[in-house]
Amino acid sequence: MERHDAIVIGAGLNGLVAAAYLAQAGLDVLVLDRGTAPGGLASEHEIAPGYRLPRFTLGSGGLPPRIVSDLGLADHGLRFIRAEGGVTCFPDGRYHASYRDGVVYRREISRFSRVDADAFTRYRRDMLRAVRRLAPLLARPAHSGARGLFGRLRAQLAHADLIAAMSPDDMRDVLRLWTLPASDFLDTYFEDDFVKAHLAAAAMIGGTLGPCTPTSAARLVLPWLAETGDASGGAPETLMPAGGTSALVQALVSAVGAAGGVLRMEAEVTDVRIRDGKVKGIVLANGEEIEARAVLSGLDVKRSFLSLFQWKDLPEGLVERVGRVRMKGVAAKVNLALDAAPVFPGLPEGCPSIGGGLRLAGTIPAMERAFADWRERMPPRDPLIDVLIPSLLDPSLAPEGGHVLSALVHYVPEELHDGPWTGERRDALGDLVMTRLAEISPGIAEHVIAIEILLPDDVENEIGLTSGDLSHGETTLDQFFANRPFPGAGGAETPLKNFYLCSPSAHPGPLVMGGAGANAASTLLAAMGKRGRA
Amino acid sequence: MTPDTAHPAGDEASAIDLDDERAKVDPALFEADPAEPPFARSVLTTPLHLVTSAESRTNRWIRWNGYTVPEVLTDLGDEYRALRGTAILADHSPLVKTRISGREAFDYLQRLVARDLSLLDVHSSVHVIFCESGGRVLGDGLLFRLGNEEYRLVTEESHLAWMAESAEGFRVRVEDVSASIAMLSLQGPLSASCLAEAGLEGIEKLAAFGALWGHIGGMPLYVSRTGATGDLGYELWTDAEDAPHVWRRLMERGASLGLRPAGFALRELARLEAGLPRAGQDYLSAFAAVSAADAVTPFELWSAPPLATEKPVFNGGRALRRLAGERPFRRLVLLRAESFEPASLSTVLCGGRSVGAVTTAGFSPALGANIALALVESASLEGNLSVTACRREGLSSREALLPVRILPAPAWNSARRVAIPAPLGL
Amino acid sequence: MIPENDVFDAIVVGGGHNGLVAAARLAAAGKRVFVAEARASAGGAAVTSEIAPGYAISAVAHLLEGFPRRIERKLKLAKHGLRYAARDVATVALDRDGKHLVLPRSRKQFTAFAEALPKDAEAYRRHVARNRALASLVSPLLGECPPALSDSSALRSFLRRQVLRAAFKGRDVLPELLRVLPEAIGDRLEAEFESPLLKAALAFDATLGGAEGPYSPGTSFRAILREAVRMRGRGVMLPAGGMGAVSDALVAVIAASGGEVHLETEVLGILVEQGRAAGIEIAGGGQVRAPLVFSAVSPRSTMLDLVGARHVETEDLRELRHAVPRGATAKINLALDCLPHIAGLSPELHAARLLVVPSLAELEEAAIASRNGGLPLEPAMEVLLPSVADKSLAPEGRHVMSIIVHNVPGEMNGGWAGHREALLQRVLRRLGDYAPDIPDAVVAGEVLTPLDIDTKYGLAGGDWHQGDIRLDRLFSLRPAPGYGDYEAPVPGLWLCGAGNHPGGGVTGLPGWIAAEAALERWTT
Repeated sequence: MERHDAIVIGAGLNGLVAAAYLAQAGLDVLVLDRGTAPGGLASEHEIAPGYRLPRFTLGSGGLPPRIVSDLGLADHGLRFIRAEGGVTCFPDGRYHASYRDGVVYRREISRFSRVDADAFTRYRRDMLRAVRRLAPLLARPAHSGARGLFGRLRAQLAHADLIAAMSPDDMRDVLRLWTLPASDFLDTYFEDDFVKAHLAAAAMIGGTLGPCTPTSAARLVLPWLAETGDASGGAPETLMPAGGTSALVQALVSAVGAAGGVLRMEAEVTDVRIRDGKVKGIVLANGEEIEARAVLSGLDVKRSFLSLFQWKDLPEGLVERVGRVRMKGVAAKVNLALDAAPVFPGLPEGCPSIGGGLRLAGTIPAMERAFADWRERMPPRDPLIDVLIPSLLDPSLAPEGGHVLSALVHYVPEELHDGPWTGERRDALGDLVMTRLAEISPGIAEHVIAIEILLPDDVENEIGLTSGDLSHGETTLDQFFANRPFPGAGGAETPLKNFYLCSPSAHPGPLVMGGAGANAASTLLAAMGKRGRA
Repeated sequence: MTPDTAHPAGDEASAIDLDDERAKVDPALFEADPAEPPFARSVLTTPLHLVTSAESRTNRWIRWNGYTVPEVLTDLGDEYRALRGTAILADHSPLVKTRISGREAFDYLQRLVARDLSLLDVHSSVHVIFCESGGRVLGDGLLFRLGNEEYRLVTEESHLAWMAESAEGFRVRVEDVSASIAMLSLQGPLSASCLAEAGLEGIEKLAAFGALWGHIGGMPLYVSRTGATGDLGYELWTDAEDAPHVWRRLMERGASLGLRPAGFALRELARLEAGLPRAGQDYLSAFAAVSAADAVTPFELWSAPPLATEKPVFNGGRALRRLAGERPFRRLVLLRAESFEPASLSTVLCGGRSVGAVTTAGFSPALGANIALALVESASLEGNLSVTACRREGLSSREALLPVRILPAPAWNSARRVAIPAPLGL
Repeated sequence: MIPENDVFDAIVVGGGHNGLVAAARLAAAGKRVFVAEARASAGGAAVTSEIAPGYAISAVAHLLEGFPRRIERKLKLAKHGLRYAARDVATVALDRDGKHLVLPRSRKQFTAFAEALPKDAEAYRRHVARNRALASLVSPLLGECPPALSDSSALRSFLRRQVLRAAFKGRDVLPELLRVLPEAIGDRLEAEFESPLLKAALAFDATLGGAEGPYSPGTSFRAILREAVRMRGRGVMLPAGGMGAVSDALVAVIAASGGEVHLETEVLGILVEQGRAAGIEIAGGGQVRAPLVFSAVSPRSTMLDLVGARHVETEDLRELRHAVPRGATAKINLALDCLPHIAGLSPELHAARLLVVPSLAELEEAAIASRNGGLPLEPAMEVLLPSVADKSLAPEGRHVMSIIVHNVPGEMNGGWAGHREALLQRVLRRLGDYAPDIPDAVVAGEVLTPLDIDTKYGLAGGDWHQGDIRLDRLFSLRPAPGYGDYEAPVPGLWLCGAGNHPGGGVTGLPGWIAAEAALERWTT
């Protein structure tokens, strides 16, 4: 029987990151994926001949520099485009753009409020301070690793001491950030509603919290996570892989291969084998069995446990705990192929921030209303739309003169209050997005040569992500850190020996691209007593 | 800025022709044009941009507060000799000016800044610092009292949000007036003579930190006897449109006294010799300091900070009263490195351990030595300090450890700075 | 009427029950206390008023829940006239089909509960046990001054103590508490129970008095907090003569110790001299001076309106400025000419807390609607017939009905004109579903919107808590960072209202702890 050191289920981004780390540490790694091409959520497709874009995600974001350098991905061709932070377009025709240059961004805020331009200094300081506190927590497991009653008690006491040793300012900042609604948090810095809306819009994307919901302030840190805090003094930037997400996937595949890992496509894992309470290997759809010392699942937590195992084999209570993990679809994707560059008469010509994305948003109360609609499972009336036209900065993604446009639409419920999505309603959603786009780019409809509208349901059906939840589980605080994916977990280990989660269902979730994969690899290597670079 | 069309005749020798179309390729833009998107112009220009451009022999510019200003106009050594021997004129328009007015302007400022303002008369100024609730410095600047209920605060950086937030509960108006007021800094032993020569009468009677309204060449201006050079000097506050005329008139009349234009590098060197810290360089505003350790207290920056802990309530007061009784963790000190060649200095060491960092360094012609402002742990101030110095020679760089000592007094502190009457002539 | 040149040890601004508790505590310690109350009667939200001749009712709060035994005993409230008409009032969630649900607090009640909801019984037992375990960890903290964030050694020993206490209670208690803190009660209940009525009743109890819906993070912890408050008292009590009886007893304590309660005495400002609180300024001229000033008025109003921004540092106000109290609870008081008959409810349970609750989703919708200035379509309410247990409240054979309506906006879209009637009609129609005779039995009544509760009874914004109980406003952070220890940033000024730890409800705790903290400071 075929035998490997480690099997990774799912050739998504995190699965590949984990595989690359393991292979580079000298393990014999096999990556299995049921699809025809690797990439999972990050995989691209052609919406029209020569027009490439990621099917379900926006495609922006970068791997943390640590992972890029650990895995030597630059040698495998990975490059990132650094773009400005994007523009928010408001319904009344106003816009607010992000600029990395502090002086320029200050002047941009001054168009709305001179006082806020100055207040941004303190806001930026507090965001960067939060990132500095958060980054180390995201780079390692969220549990103490302590065992036994006294070990845990000791760890808890040590934590208490650490908290007590924080300065009162730090403590206040941490507590405020993790408990306040984003709206209230922003109120303590800014006065202008458009400035606040711009900062909130970038943060709310992808989450199941409204800007007025308690604890949503923590999301404001997200756009800053990759900031190093240089002296530029401006807004955070947007990163995107040059050549699209497929280039990112290719670099990872190449890194896995170069280190001796094997990638097998069209190999669907249907079962994970357990013997004596330990995971021993997997079974493929064709009946083939493969043994491994460890199995890493890049699937979401629900699919990992509820579909790969016989429930009777699982430890008592696990099915219930996994069942309780909340996964909810919040976004729909609209993909467009355009035969000409869209024009934006309301935005200044040559605005460099357009390349970083366009956010069609109202003020914070409007966002909260959109969120309330989602909670009541209404079809969106006034959604928050995040638009990226990656071909503006990366012409390789479309034929000459053409462009691809990705729009992520928030907040879109997985199922409506009166039943599933119908074809009519799906079309209505597409029309709504086109109407909104036409408001900032009149005549854009005439240049559309292909369009597709993808609902949370489509994500679930095509790649098997439960509820189409792109976050692999709500990222609310009660499902984060030590509570991710379920209380007491906080890392890649599972209650099953030799079985690890390397998807964003595990800590640190979707906050750090590839972070869950890196975490899983380092956890496994530590368990095997090997020193990896992860 | 409008081109100068009404300047007095008889200045051909100065070789400044503001009507010259070639000099107007890019109109100076002191205030951001609301019609122009911010990215279109990442630096603005001051009202004196065209005249300083015309003076520049080096075409070396530096970005200061979002404006471009000359770094060096001719030669730093020449400019320095003029500063210490005759007089220099420089464009300091990028400074941030905030107008505070209203019935409760005094009460407002009294709570905003750390020092007691009860004795601040109309037409005089005082150095103020202001802190956040933890007692860490947000900024320092010069506060002018222009009238009974009108003040102007001049700072290196903008603090509008803080000042606006602090205005709640006071009948006071706080406005950023930076882009309407230009500032010319006239410094040096002959600076009073230059002003007298330019027609400003009675200037010698003006006391240090005092100010008066006057005219130069028909242009109204507010003259204060202030400056950060450790010597006699004046700062001239004018309407943006008038500034080039004042500059030209002063340059004409001062030429015979040896007045020279100077750039930003000289400003830095002069304040370094005078031992004065600058916000953004020697300390960070507590609101900008990402690392909490980068925020400093007044006791760390100044040996005798301008504060009145006995004031019942002022921002930072609660913390400062506590800190006043403690030894500051570190101190900003002026160091002298024993080396005759200019070098770049970075880390301060004591017994092989890093105990501080150099924040500003330069070669002081006055002392003939490298000097530096550095934040150094108080516990090490008595020890044998040294500083890492780097010198580039050809393609190789040489690092050395230079012994340093703490200067008890500024490298330049002339009695002329406060003398009354101010000396006219040398 | 204000004694000139009289010397007081302390002044209490605001004669709500917390102000009175603080004053009574100080008076009991031998201090001369001056209480200034703007209205014509003391008590704030703990008052009894006559809505029609012969019909008396607790105008705002109507039950005493978690009023600490310690305060009752130390102030000898029984000696000063406090009696109870009912103890340990039961809670019943009304069901349209008459299958009312008694939330069990005894073994006997649990048996009946288990028969009614066999699928949820075990889960409920676990739910309650877990709530109690977590609440028992929190409960002691509600009776003490939270540690100042700036005192790291005090904070260290405080946190260590909590860790050890938690470990003593069970290995998962602490991680569980930390997990529950940001949880939404709706998510939790959905995962645990099947019965829609049970879920709605528990969600209602957790969110009542706040503006958040059951799917808002932090609401799960509110249930724990409520349980913890209950633990400090002797269950849910009905004071004889209405809630005013509590205030009357407190006033009697103060008077007996030589303190003075001055009604119709509006405080214009708190005097600050040389950075210290020195007394108060009273409407119509005059000052009262004392070295200590307590304010039971909301922290925000105290600092911004009574003290004034100029007497404190800029950052002392930053958080408070945005902590505007916004109540979302209305009160309807009705006089009835008969005892309404609620089908399927036994006669003795007519004296219980009756919960009329729609579904979880409707509760969430109502919270959203109220935030946007609209009335709830399906009002959720807590209904009490106090006259069933306390005959003194209404003429023979007649009754008063006290209704707390959840999710009613303070500021109504288009103003309140006309909407009071609409709210009343909605409430009556809903009650009519259970007791068809109610609408016709009403002989008099009043609708108190959050705004009315503010203007008539002085609760800022009509908010029970003077600033909602939210995660960012708990313990050392309540009412705002830097204020957690009851002493305002102005020396000599103490905050003792519901805006402070541990929050609103008629518990007297904020007043009590503030007074104790000040007394401790006094002696040292």
